[in-house]
Amino acid sequence: MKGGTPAFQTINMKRNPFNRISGLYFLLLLTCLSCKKDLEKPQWDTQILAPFAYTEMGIENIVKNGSAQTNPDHSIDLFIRDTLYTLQLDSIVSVVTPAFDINKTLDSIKFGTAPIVTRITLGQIARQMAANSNPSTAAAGNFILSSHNTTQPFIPAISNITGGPIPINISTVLDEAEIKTGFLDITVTNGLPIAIQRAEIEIKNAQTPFGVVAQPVLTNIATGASKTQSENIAGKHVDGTMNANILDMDFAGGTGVHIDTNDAVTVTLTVREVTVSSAVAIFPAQNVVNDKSVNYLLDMGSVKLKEMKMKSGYVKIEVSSTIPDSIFFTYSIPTAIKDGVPFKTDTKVPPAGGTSTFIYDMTGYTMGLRGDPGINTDYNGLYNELLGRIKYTGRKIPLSLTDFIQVKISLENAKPSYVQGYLGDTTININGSIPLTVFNNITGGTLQFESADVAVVVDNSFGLPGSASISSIVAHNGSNSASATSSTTALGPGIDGNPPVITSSRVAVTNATALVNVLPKTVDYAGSLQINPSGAFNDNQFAYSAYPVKAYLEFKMPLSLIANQLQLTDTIAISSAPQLNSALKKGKLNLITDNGFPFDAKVMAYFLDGSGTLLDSLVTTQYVERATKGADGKVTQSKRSVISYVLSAGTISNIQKATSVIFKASFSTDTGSYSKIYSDYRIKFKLAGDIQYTVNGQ
Amino acid sequence: MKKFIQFSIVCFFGISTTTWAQNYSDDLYWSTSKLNEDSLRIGFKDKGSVQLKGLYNYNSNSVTNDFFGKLVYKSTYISEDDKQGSLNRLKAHNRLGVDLSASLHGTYRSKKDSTVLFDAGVAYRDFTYAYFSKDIFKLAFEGNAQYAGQNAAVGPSTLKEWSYASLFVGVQKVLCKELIVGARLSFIKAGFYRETTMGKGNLYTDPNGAYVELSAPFHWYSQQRPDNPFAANNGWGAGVDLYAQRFFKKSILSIEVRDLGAVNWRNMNTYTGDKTYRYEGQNIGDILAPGNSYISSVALDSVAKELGIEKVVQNKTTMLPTRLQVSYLYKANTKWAVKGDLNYMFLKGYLPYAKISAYYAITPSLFVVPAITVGGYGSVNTQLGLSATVAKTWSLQANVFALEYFIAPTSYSGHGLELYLTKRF
Repeated sequence: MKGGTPAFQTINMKRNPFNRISGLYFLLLLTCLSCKKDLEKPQWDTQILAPFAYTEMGIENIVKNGSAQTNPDHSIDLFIRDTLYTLQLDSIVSVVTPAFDINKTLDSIKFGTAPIVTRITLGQIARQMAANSNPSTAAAGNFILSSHNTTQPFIPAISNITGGPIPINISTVLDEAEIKTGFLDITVTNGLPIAIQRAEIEIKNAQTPFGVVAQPVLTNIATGASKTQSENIAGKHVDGTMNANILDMDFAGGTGVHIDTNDAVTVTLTVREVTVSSAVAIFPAQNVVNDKSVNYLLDMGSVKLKEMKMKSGYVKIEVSSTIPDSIFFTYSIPTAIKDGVPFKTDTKVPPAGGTSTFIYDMTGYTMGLRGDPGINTDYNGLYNELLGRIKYTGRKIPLSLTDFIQVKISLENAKPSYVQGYLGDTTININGSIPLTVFNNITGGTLQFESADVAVVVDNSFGLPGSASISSIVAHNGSNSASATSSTTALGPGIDGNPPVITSSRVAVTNATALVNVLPKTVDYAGSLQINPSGAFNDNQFAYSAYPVKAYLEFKMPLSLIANQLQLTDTIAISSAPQLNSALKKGKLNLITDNGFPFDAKVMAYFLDGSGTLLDSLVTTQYVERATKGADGKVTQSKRSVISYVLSAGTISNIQKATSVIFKASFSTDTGSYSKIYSDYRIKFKLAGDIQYTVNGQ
Repeated sequence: MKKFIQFSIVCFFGISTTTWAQNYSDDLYWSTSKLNEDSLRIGFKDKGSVQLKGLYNYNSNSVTNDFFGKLVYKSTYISEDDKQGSLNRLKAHNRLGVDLSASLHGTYRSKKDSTVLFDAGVAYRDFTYAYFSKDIFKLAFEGNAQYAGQNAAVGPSTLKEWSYASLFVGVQKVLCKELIVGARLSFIKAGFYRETTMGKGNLYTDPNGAYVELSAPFHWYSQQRPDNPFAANNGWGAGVDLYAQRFFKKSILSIEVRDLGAVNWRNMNTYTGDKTYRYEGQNIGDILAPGNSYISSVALDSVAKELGIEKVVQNKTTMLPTRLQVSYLYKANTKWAVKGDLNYMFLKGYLPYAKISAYYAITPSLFVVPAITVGGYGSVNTQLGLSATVAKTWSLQANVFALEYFIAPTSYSGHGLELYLTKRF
């Protein structure tokens, strides 16, 4: 009887004296139920005899968790099942990937510039000719200069004209470059009034060591026509400032030639298909790394996986580079798919410096492990793609093929929730010992079952065949023990699904009744589980981490037993002091039972304080008497018993101080024959108090 | 002749004779003031008056003063010895009543017609009446263990409580020189009502306490008691007081009906049952189930529900505790008079109440009035009244019922006090 809510709050005894009269007819119940503290209320003692709790229980209340099965004749089979062994997915498949290291120099560096156009006027040529030490050349030069804007009836052929240096400046896009491959196209466009018979032009760096980049010779360029010559410049060093020198230029003569010193020969330099070994230049956007590879899971033994779904794990990417520009790279695992989208990440690595680390959660990804998706025949292979690129920035940077980008990619803490493939052939020993708690509360007396079945049950939720073998089972209870064995039993595969359909196999154990009647508290076992015992390859096998293979030790005992002073003891912690109404003074508790079970019982309670010291007890010599059985062994009539427990004032006080209570119950059946328990047996409990109670007591 | 007809009509209908708030038949001042007059006749000297009245009265034919005092006034521990006095007095049927009332009102005589007197005021009343069996008292104060394997007679028993405030107006008319009639109409603001009634039946206790079984029809009505009855909004009602006095040469006959009316009480929690109800405790279900709290607090609603008794919240109309009173005052001379009162309240088990009073004038302005009463809630009791007139227009009266309380508190019942303070104009 807990304190707190008065039973008849609506009576609402207030200070007005007349109100107190009003509860007269309900004081009986009020005394039982109300414990509201009110110092201004009168008090008096009463002796209350009333029930306060009852319940009715059947075997389903005593045997929990569906561990009792009712047979068609209403008899009961008791099931006890304890886990022997659990085979987790991790035990047969461990996902370890090697680090995917890419330590890569630049594949290539592309370089390109706009065409460089240099115009050499007739005036420039004439003035250089005039200054020539060769008298005839000088005379020809002076003639041209003096004939500016005139039409000469005849111009003779002019040979061995030289000129230069004419500067070519590309330093706005290039400081210098070592050309790895490429061509320089030199195009000469004749804007002069006479044909060029031969032109030999030297293009040369303007700085030390003045290396010649190209020296094309072009011939027979008619007035107004162009001619191009390609020069292979592989291996050449190119500076941002160069000079063009005319080593030799020969003109055909002509008649009626109009001389205009502003007419010019145009030289156009165009680079193409150029890659550089190194350069300090403004580079165009270009891919600098492009890598595709398959990363294989390690230590897979005979396991060949086609696919796995990630329960947890992450991709870790560590990148460092010597490239003095930001590298943009894309890492993708095309066969890792989540919600229909392949895994792909775009990341930027800052210019040369430290190492950048990127982590991506792979939980929930289904990862194909068939290697290159274009081939798709591999196992345990994770296909990756890495693409690195630079972007056009408009800034000159030094870049060399010795520059490198270092990428380390790893799949870490990878735990699959599901795998598919061939899961290998291995044998797992399952030796060990398990405690059995079902008989733990038996602290005395004897219990003997009429019969029992014991088996090791393997629930195979993995999609692979196996076999189980139990070589030894030994049940222990103190010095008592019993042994059993079993034969090897094949385990059928589970059927894929989520959850998978479990295939259960029973491995029967010998000597079952003896095992059970030991009332074992521990069971030692030894045996093995074998996966793919035939070794037949089948890559459609599967396993879920959430649904491991479980092996149970299962007892099945018809509830037909002989109990003799079977004593059960249980200790229950009292989390908070019993809320006994402090108005309860003394008296007794009556346990009234109508027992429909064929055993008698005695129940006692011992109340302990926090240090385990016995504070008080509710003890009795009286038994809950067993029901009467008929000739067929079935109960024909329940039996009523009234057991009284004395509740002194001290006992009530002690109960309120207790922190735990030990219940001891002893049971006995007929000892001459087995008593069978049926599902329709009931026992009714009723607890009544015959207690001195102080009305309005505190 | 006309007056005779009027008087006859009044007498015929009885209740049409009317009364005043001060209930002349109980008012010592009114009685003694008449005794000072040369003859018993109706006078018209007063222009009006203001009166403050208070009454407290407890009585029972069984529950002793000592027991009641400890239960109600002292709120102390009641020992077995304390109970014994009441237990010794218990009868098969027992009564108990507690009446507390107070009023303030004024009268005003009409200037146009001095035979008409108007009346208005406010009043408050808290009244409890119980009629109960011997066993139910023992159940309440000793417990039911003594009835193990036996029936305890719990009915017929009833307990009623009224608490209400009223605003009233009235008028008195002198019909002739021998006859006064009057009436008052009260508007009632309900304060609180509770009623528990059990018909004839038993409460059986199993010898082992396995069950307790009630086989008595019952009903229970209850409201939340308000802290302030004037502010409560628990219902409304109306009532009338009716009064008539007939003057004879040396005597006065008064007939009155008080609190004739009804109140509609709101939102009464109502439990009604007319079957046999067996209580076997609280079903605690599966005691082996994890988390079962076994026994929780037990509330009336849940107990009732377990017994199949549904609570209904409804309005209820009840009659007021109506009282019919007849008084006869006989004046022997200017020193002595006697008065007999007989009243009846329409309550189950209530006995007709009779009172014989003697009036003795120590001086013309100071009277002593001893009295003996029989019936009502109690058995035989004594009273002593005093009436004093001060400065001609002020009067104070007190009627004390305390003799038994002081002389035999553990073996007798009944005590109370009635006070009037009146200013006449």
